[in-house]
Amino acid sequence: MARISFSEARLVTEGFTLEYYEQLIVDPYYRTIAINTLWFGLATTIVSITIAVPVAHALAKYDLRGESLILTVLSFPNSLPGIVAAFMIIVLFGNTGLITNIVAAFSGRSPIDLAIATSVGGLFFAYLYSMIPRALLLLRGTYAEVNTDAEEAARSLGATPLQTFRYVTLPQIKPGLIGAFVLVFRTALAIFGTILILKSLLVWTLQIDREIAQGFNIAQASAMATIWFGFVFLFTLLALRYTSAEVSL
Amino acid sequence: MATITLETLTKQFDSTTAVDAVSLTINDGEVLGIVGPSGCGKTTTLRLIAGFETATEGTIQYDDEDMTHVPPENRNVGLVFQGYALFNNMTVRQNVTFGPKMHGVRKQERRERANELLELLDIRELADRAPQTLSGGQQQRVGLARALAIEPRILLLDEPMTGLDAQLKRSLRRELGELLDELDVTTLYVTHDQEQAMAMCDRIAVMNDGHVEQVSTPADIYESPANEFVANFIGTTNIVATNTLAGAVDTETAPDQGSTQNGHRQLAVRPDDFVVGSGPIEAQIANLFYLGEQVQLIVTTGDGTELTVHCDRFDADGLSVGDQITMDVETSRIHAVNETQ
Repeated sequence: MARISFSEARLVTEGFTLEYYEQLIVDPYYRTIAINTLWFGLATTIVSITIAVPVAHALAKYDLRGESLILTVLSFPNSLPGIVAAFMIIVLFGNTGLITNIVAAFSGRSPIDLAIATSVGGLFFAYLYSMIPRALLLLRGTYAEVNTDAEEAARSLGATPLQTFRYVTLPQIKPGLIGAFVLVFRTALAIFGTILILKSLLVWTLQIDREIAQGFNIAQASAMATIWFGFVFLFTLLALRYTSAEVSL
Repeated sequence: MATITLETLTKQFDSTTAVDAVSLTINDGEVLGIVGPSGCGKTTTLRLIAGFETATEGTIQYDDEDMTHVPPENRNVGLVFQGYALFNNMTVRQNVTFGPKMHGVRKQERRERANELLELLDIRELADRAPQTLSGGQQQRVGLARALAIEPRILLLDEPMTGLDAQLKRSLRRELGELLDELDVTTLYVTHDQEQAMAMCDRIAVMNDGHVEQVSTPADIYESPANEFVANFIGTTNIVATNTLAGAVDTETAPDQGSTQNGHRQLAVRPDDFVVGSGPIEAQIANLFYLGEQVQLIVTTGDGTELTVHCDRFDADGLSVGDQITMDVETSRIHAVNETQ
């Protein structure tokens, strides 16, 4: 893959050129795609972890009714392909979607105006659907190792539940949070099936597909894939250098 | 400091009653030990007092204040855990100043308080160390300093010496006992180690199956156990039927602890209350264990009852398994005990 990205020919390995990498740097089209990929991945990662932390906290600290059902529902997306997640968003938030029509019925507005399935908002939900369970998976493991005696010690010393979380729990789950960030952000960068269906934002993986399927530009797609691989590898390496989080490369 | 009063305190977990109508008073400045086997409800009682469990029934009072439903952070309780539960993301000093910080004590004052306590517990030089770099004994001292830093109304010690080696336990037991005497803080000491409780506590409550079986001074509990369970749990005891010792000693005048139950009269005799060498009780040595300062004899009497007898190692010279021996026991050392219900 890396070799063909330096090839002078678009479809076969021949000669040596940096043309396809130059293209990725100088062409505003590719820069926009890179920025789209990064901001969308970062935003969905932050929101996923922000949701997953209180859920993991609640699952660890309280005897919730129907806990096994909650866990099943929350872990289910891990085994679903992105395409299915995209269809679910259409079924719920499309023009004829369930939630769209419920909101329309209550608000009196047109379902077409309310449908967000193929907007960036719909894509955001689809990403969260895939990413929250991954963050939760890691955070639940982290929470299982939290020293609850230390939390109780803090309470007995006068700390409120919020202060206990800030001073005692948070430092303990920090490696898990960084690990979850790495894992979920990588997931966001790699999502393809969902975006292939919803197509509401042009991101790196979708463009790689287009280079191959529409332009037959294997060399350009290879350059993009090489950049993608290098970025994810370096990001993971740097993130893990400053934490003991256990996320494999 | 405060007087802690538990009134018919009950805690149920689903169908299990962990603490069953416990009524108990821990007097101001007193060190009260709760001992009992695993699952007897002693830790649950401690957690109820600390506020980490909610009572199903009954009340908890600190002096005249009803604390039954007060959250843990508002009870001003100093808690020392079995596993120390130190904050590993903080230094020793930060651990000790954490409580005062949460109580809004000014920085300078809480630093001074921490230094005083670290000095008192002889760990001043560890102030800037991380807890995970300390030994078990040092961590235990930090846990104690942290609990005392908030000037608690009651100090709760939950098996604080479990996991320490025997020698360290002995030295810490003495130091902790002296410290509690010096500080005069109301203390609840929960342990399964009766020896520690006997050595450190002003009074002991023996718990079994969620109930308090007896509350009294260590000497009284050892010398006059209220029932078979207490007699068996505190130290080693021979529980025998009246007729085993009848004829040998005057069992009818043995001090009685309460009435006999269902017509059964059981006698409790401590192994070290037997005098081996002469006397009216005849027995055969079934086994013999050298314990160091003492020798433990397992003997069988004429009616087949097995007794445990302790004698001085010099008195056991020449004794071996199978030997016939004679023994005596003073009537005043025999206690009639109720069967545990």
